[in-house]
Amino acid sequence: MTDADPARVVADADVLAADLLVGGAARDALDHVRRHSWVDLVASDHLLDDAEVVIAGVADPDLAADWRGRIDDERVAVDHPAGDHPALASAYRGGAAHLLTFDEGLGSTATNLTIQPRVNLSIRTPDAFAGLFDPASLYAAVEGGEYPGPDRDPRA
Amino acid sequence: MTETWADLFERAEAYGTEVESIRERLREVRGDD
Repeated sequence: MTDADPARVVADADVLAADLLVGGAARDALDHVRRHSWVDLVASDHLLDDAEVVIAGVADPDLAADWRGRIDDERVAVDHPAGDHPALASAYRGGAAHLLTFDEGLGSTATNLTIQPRVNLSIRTPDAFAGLFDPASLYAAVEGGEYPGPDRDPRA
Repeated sequence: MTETWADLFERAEAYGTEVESIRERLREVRGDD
């Protein structure tokens, strides 16, 4: 088993939907991902399916489909069995070090995963992640050298 | 053609969604109730 990659992030379906529909902490957190080409959003089809259904339910199916078209282009895709928790399984199978969720009990929830969880997965709420995200130290650890600043427009 | 994030966020704003309604819907989708 390889170590988790500190530049790989998973957002659970509630955070993905809130990023689109609410803004606030969820958007602050995912803006950190969007504005850095070297930070990856990892998500399985199952995870995006959940978020798309939620968005279609609380907003509308057209918006959900357009969101899916966009997020499909940007995420790093991973696969896992349908019975696994989509966010946890995406994180473990995608080697992510960070999992963002509004479900603060997720880390202690008994889950029926088909792979052994890593101990170095950090499960945080979006506001905690957004507050702690330090691109300069992360860049030095992942890419090496001095942080050049954001390299993408998070609204593009 | 995919939309920009700015366009998607602008369209989404019209729904006035709150985090709790998203969480409630996700619990329904996953059968966590």
